[in-house]
Amino acid sequence: MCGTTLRTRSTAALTCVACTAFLAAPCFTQAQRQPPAPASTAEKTLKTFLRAYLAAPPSNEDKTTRYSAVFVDLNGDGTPEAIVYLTGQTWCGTGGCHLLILTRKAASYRIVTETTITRPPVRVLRRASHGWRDITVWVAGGGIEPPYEAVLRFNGTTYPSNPSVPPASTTGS
Amino acid sequence: MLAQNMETLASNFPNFTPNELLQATAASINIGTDKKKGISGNPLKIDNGTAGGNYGSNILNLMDCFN
Repeated sequence: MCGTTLRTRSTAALTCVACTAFLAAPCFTQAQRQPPAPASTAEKTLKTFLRAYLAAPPSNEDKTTRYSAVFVDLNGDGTPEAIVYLTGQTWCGTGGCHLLILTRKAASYRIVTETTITRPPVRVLRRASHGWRDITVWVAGGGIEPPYEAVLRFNGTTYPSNPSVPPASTTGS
Repeated sequence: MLAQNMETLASNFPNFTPNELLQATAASINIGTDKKKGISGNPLKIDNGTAGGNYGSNILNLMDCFN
């Protein structure tokens, strides 16, 4: 994670635009915006996967959809997972937006977790659960007061899909 | 926005009762209208992805206060 910079990609189909930096780490307190760079193979593969996933039923076509993504090796296998923050009317509400965690599967990706009502910054911790690094998101809005940072711990299969209820917990617990 | 969400949800879940549709619409204020992992078609799980896991039903209960 250290030294990883956030890049956002644009696609015609998803009309993705550069968004605010959403991912941080203890050693990387401020993500940097970078000028557009040639898309890596992983980024191209991710874009292809997201186009198919987001456009496929049962989702409705939503032209407000945007995403920001970073690639981080969460499980230590040497292949970076993709952490994708989705925004748009379909994916966001007063509680925040959806966060996808994807892992490589053959030449594409598979969904590990789709977590609702998350808010940035998203942090990847050094600590791991069942071999996958813990992730934190902010929980706020929708009647949740005061806002807090929730820890998402991998349970051997997935991460919690809702950061506001157990098994997600606060960073202080 | 509510009317648009309700229209989307009614299309996504034609089997919802009027009350379930109202709960789902209230829930969508909190999590959006996605039905892959957001609003569930299972009436018992409509609020699963929402704040505290009960956002939509809370709204409906609060509405009762004003009836």
